[in-house]
Amino acid sequence: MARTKTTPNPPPPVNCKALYHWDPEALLAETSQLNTHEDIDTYKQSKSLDKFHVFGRELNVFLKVLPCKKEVPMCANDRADPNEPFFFMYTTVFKRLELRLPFTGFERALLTEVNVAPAQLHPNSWAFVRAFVILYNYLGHPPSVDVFLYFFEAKNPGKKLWLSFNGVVGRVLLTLF
Amino acid sequence: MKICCSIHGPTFLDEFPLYWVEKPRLKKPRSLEDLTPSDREMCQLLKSLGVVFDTAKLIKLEFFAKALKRFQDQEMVESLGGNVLQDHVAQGLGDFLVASSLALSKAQDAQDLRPEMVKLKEELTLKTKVFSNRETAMY
Repeated sequence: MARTKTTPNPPPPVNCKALYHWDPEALLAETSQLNTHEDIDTYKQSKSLDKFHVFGRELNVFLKVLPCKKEVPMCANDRADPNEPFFFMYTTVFKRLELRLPFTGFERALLTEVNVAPAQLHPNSWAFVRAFVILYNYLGHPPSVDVFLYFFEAKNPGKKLWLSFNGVVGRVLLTLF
Repeated sequence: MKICCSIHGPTFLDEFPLYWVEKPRLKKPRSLEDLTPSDREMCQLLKSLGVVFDTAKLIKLEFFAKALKRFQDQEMVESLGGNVLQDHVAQGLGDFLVASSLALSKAQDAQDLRPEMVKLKEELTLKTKVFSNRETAMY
C-alpha cells in the first residue's frame, strides 16, 4: 500500500489559563521579550554580560538559551515539549547580580529546599544568595543551606507567587540589594 | 529568557523544580538546635561579629579579588573596632580577625563565645590605636 504524505497539524493555541489555573493573572501576563535568535544575540553582546558563562564556558555545551514564544508566560512548563527540560530566568539576575550557570550545588540545594523554580525566587532574594556565597568564600568554607536558612526565612509569595528571603530579626547579615 | 539543557547532558538541572510551583515551601528560620555542630559554630561566629555586609558591594566586587578582600576586611574590622583604618592595616587586621574568630569558634562553646569576642574587640581597638599612633609619628 502506498504511503500518503501527511503534514502534521499545527499545535493548538496554548490555553495558559486552563493549563495553569492556579497562577494569578499578573503572572500569566508576564512573557519574555527575547522572542527571536536576533534578540538573544543582541542580548549576548551586552557589555555587562562579560562574565555570563552560560554562553561561553566549555562545560556548558549542554546548556543553551532559546528564544521564548511571545504568548508563553513565565510560569509555563514542559507540557508542550516534554523531551527538553528547561527553565525560565529573568535576565536581570544575570546582568545585575552576575549569577552564572550551571547552578552550584548550594544554589540547587537551596531551590530544592524551598521548592521553587529559579525564576520564582525574587531577584532581590537571588542577591542575598549571591552575596552569601561570596561571603562564605571569604571565610574559606563551602556555603551551607542550613546556615543560610538560619539568617533568612522564606516568606509568603507576593501576587506573582514569588518567594522572598527576608533577613531574620536579630540575625541581619546582609543589606537589601 | 528560556534556558534548556540537553537530555544527554550532565545533571545540571536535577533536583530543584524547573517550573513554577503552586506551593513553595515556606520556611521558618532554622534554630541553632537544628544545625550540625560546624554550622552552629559558623552561625554563632557570624552573629557575634555583628557585621551587616553590603550586598550590592559584595556582588560588585566579586571578580576583583583584592578589592573584595580589602572591603570585607574593612567591614569586619570597622564594625568591631569602630575606627577608620588605613587599607593595608584593615587587611592585616581582617586576616587576624578571621583567623582568630575561626579558631575561637572551634575552641569555645556557644555560651563562651560572646565574652571572647568582646575581649578580641578590645584587643583589636588597642592594636588599632597603637598603629594609628605609629602612623601619626611617621608623618
